[in-house]
Amino acid sequence: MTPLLELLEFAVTRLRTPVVRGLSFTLEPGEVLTLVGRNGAGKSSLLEGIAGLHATSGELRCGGRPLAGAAIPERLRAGVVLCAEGRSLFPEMSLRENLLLGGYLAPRDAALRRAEELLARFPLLAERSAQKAGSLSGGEQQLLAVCRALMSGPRVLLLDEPTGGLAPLYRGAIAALVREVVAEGERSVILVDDNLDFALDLADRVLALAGGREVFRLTRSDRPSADLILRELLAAERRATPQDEGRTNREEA
Amino acid sequence: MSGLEELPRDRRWHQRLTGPPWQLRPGVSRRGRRLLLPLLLAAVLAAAELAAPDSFLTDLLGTACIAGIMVLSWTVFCGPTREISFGHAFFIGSAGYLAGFLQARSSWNPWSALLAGVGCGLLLGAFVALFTARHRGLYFSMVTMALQLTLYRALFLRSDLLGGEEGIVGVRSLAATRTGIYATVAAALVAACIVVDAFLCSRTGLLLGATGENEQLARSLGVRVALLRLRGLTLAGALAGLGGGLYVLTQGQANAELASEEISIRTLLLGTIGGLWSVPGALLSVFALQGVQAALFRLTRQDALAYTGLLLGLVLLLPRGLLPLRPRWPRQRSCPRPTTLGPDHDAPGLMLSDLGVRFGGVKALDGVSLEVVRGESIGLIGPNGAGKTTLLSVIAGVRRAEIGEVRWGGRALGAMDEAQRARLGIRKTHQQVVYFPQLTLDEHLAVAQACWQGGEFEVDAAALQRLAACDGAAGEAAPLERLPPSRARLAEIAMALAAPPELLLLDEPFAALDREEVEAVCEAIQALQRRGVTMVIVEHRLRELFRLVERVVVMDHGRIISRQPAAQVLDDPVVREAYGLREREGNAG
Repeated sequence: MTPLLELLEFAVTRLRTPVVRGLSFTLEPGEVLTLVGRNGAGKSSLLEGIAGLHATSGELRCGGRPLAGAAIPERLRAGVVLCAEGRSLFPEMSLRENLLLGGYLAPRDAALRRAEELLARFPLLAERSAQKAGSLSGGEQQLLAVCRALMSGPRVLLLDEPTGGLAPLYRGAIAALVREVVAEGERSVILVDDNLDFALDLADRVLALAGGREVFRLTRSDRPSADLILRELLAAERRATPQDEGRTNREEA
Repeated sequence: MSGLEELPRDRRWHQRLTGPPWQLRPGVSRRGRRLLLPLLLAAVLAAAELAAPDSFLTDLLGTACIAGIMVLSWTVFCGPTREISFGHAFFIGSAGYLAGFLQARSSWNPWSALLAGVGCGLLLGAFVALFTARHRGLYFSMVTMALQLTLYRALFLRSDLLGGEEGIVGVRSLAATRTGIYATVAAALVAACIVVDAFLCSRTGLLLGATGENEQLARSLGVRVALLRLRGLTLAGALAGLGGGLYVLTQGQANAELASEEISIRTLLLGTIGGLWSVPGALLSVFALQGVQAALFRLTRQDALAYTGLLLGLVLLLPRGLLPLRPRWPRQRSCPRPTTLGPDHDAPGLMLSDLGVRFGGVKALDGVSLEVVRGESIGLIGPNGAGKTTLLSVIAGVRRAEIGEVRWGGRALGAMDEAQRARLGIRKTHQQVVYFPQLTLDEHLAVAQACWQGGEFEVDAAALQRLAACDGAAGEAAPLERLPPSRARLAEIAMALAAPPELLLLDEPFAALDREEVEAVCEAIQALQRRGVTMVIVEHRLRELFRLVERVVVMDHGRIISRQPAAQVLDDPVVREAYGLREREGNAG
């Protein structure tokens, strides 16, 4: 089976600083890949690099189609959709308009139908569909951002902190949405979330990053837990520390 | 907590923070180094005169010195605030005309006329500051352009009293010789350079820069934005007046061109090409481009096209300017006098009475009444859209309640805005991270301390160190815009530690933080609690929240639905239903 997403020696540079280096992995259809690592490890930058927001090098393919160097609209047409950290809504537009903008590449009828489906699913959003997005509460904005990402029918959905500011009720709803996206075995999700219990619960595979590099991988059979991840990250840092100390000592000398 | 305490700390941060407690005084340690630029400038200008006295070169440099003063006057305000003044010729032309008129028509001494020109620029700067108190960005640019055009077209071009298009001629020069004129303008430029640099590196310059970076955050720290802009524009006007006065009193005439849009655009271009907020950049652009323009003119006699092409090329190739060196505000290691400045525990705390806010047809707050005693920390939880952030915004003065009253320390806060409440010691952190993009963590702390209203106190260095250690070596000197968003959240908490408020409203302080960062923030909050800071904490990560508070208030649909001790709140079936907890989820966060 052709992997849905392939990265080979993929690197991301942000504001002239390399933030992801030499990363290679594939993403199979119907799979949820959870990225873990400390803040600053390069998780969000990786998602943004795949979405085309930063300069990248290396190979990137979606369904066998090369996307390295492709413009953002081309990536969107290929089905690579990012729900970025920080929501990035249009505050002066209504909730419904924000939602429809997420589906602007799809035929209008399909976009309207999809918007109605999502609003029916989240009564909290339906109640406020005419309200300006900027006047919604933080959690409502977050929910809207996730729904907007779903409007274009993504093949590879990149979710960055989708539960930030969400109460448990809606965290559960987001988890159900993610499961639904991958249920038919045609679409995949790459997930970053600091709520490790939430992120690991959904994960088929886990990829850990530190300093922009891969440090370890786990699969569902490894029974990844928050404690295991932290232990492994700590061990990886310890393995890296002696070299750093050596370097620091040389600098001090 | 698992073995996170064992995680290696960055060595350099550790070395930097194990000294005396932090004290930040903008720019003091670099005062000596800062004199290097004016000294170098003075030396170069003097050397030019010695090498080629009374020559074309010194004439050119003299003109460049006057242009330099005009560009510095642009940089001193537009650099830190990021405003684009499109009408700088309004100050330059007015001051020049006044100086020329007083000298030529009223026979004033040239030096007195120059002083009058500076005073005129100063007053016009104050006028523009008051006139544009509520204008930002494009609107500020439009107002300045309109003022300049009105003055130029309606007064200088048409007034017979001011000589019409020809202007005022026969103005007596400030000095009798070319050397004297050159020495005067060179000394004026060096003085202007010292003044501008001192202003930008001062507390006022720091806060003005912070305002330009993020006015919302600056206001939430209590910065008096209008006053800062008044100071900045007054100085800019005075310097532009100096430039205009010098031009007229050295060239012997004041013509309408001095107040034209060409002068405004030229000043704007040179200020931008040098590098916004950069004194060395402004000087470099003036001298380098003046030289290039003269050379082009000598070579081709038709310099306009080539010069315009050069400027466009520079803007495209170097968008941040030739020398983008903004002022720096280093941290000082001086040990403050340790005093205990905890809040007055006997004073009344926070009292909310029947608050109501509507967004269209939605009741965001519906009769909310709450009391928090001094030194107490309460948790505020509830489902999304319950009104938690709106409540914090009403307390902080970001949003007005349509009905009801907020009292702090027994005082009704009424119509006080966010900055006024911040000066009373009320501060709110932001759910969506906000920060000063170009400033480093140290400079964020410098801004917070520059806003500090109380006396000296001992910063909890250990808690600050723990927050800073999350930053790692990469973030040491980097502006926050280059770091992950979580650093901005840590910076906001660090600012509260560096200059503790009396009432701190924390809106989801743990959002998007990893475990180590959450621990560091918890430690910082506990340090503030030990100082007696009153807190209202909104947070969905309940496990961490319950470690910090004893009492929890639950909201839903704009109302308070429950008030319980933290240990019992999740046993309340009403809370569980509203909050979407099906079974006991102590780790709901």
